[in-house]
Amino acid sequence: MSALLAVEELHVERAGGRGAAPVAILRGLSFSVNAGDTVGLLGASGSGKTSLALALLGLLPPALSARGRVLFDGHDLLALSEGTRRTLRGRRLAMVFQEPLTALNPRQRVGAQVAEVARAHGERDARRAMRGAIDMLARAGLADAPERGRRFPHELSGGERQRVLLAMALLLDPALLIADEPTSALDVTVQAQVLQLLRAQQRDRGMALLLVSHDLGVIATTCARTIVLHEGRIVEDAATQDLLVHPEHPQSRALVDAVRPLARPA
Amino acid sequence: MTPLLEIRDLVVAYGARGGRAHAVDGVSLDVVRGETLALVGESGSGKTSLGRAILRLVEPAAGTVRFDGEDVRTMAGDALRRFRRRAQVVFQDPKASLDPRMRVGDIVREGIDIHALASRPKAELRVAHLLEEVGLATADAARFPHEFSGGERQRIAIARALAVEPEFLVLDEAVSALDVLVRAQVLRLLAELQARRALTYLFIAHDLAVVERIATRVAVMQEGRIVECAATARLFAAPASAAAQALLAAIPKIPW
Repeated sequence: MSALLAVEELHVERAGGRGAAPVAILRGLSFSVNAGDTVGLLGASGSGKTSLALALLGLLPPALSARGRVLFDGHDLLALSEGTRRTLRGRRLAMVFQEPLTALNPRQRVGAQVAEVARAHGERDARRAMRGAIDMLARAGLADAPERGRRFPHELSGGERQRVLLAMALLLDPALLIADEPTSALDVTVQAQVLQLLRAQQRDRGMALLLVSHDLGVIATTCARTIVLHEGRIVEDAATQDLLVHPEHPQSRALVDAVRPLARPA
Repeated sequence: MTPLLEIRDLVVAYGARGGRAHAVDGVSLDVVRGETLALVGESGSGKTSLGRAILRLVEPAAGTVRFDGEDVRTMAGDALRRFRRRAQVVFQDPKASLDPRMRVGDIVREGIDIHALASRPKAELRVAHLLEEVGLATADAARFPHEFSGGERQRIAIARALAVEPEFLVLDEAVSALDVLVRAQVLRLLAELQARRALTYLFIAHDLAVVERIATRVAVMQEGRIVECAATARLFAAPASAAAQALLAAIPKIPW
């Protein structure tokens, strides 16, 4: 079986100003994700994990450039035109980010924003798009979706906004969902609910999930496999269970120790 | 021994006079010298309002707060100034709480100057020692806050709080915005400082996993009230209130 996503020798650099040498952010990453896999991308701040997520989505800021290959469904995402990439994004490849407030349009009702995803991907019937959106919001766990769908983003809580983003991401039944710190801005109780929803949706849809986080606790409860990123390199790629018991790289050990219960010393 | 801090029937109300929104709704609590009392609860449970009322950053509507036997609510003049030196606070977001136009050395020294605790040369020497004590370099005094990472900025905020030799620190979500590795380092630093300087901490947090690593006792808040208060190990082993059970259930269950 060929992989759903295959990243080969991916480099990302920041252009150096005024003749200075470029700064390497990702230094030759290779890994693959199969259909239905749950993979955690674990790293401390500055390890390059967000740059990796953005590079996969073709959303790197202009100052950053990528080289290497990112094969998704057999297409090299780095070589695609923005138009083709945009069609893939949403339909086959979707994302959720950390801060749902900045990812939503503050002046549009959330139901309409979800419906717009269907419209952008070819749904002509506005009423059917809205019905689908409300239905998806309900499945994403937004209580009283028909009423809340009429609200503006600022009228919802952080957890509710994250459910709206998840509804937008899952609407077109993507084969791969990339979630970049989707719960880091949330209260722990809400975080637990959103992770549970993410796990249930992943399982029900057989969708592949790439979950980016600095917190092994979040990854370990959701992903079967964990890739540890450190200074722009993959330093470990292992079954999560093995990583928890025998972290091999010093950085992996530090990340495991940071969440290890105190009553269970190393 | 009397507790360092005694809180009785404290009420903090927001909104119009006589409004019914009580952020803190009749809290009684003691904080013992040398301990770390964690105050936990979901967002909106009233923990930050309680912390602020203790420091007199907001005026309570009713109740008493005693610090080392003195009534904080009636303090004035020298007594209030002394209290402001002895009780310090570190907030969640050091980006917002550090003046971006001041050099780190001046930020840390400001409290020493305000309370006239040392001459200028001695104050600068003290700043240098403080920066080293929190794991920064002496030369960092000349730099600006934006030149530091989030964890380093939180170390600067801790150095600033310690500069006036306080006995009591309110740590209001002080490690919540930090990445897990940096968080573990800052928690270790706080524990070292507490041992070395005999500090008492009120550690406000929403995440019980963090609390387990630092607290002596845990008080659980819900809708403005303390619903449970117990030694940390006991709370984790046998949470009695529904609020504590919910917070414990929210900790990701790592399949060790």
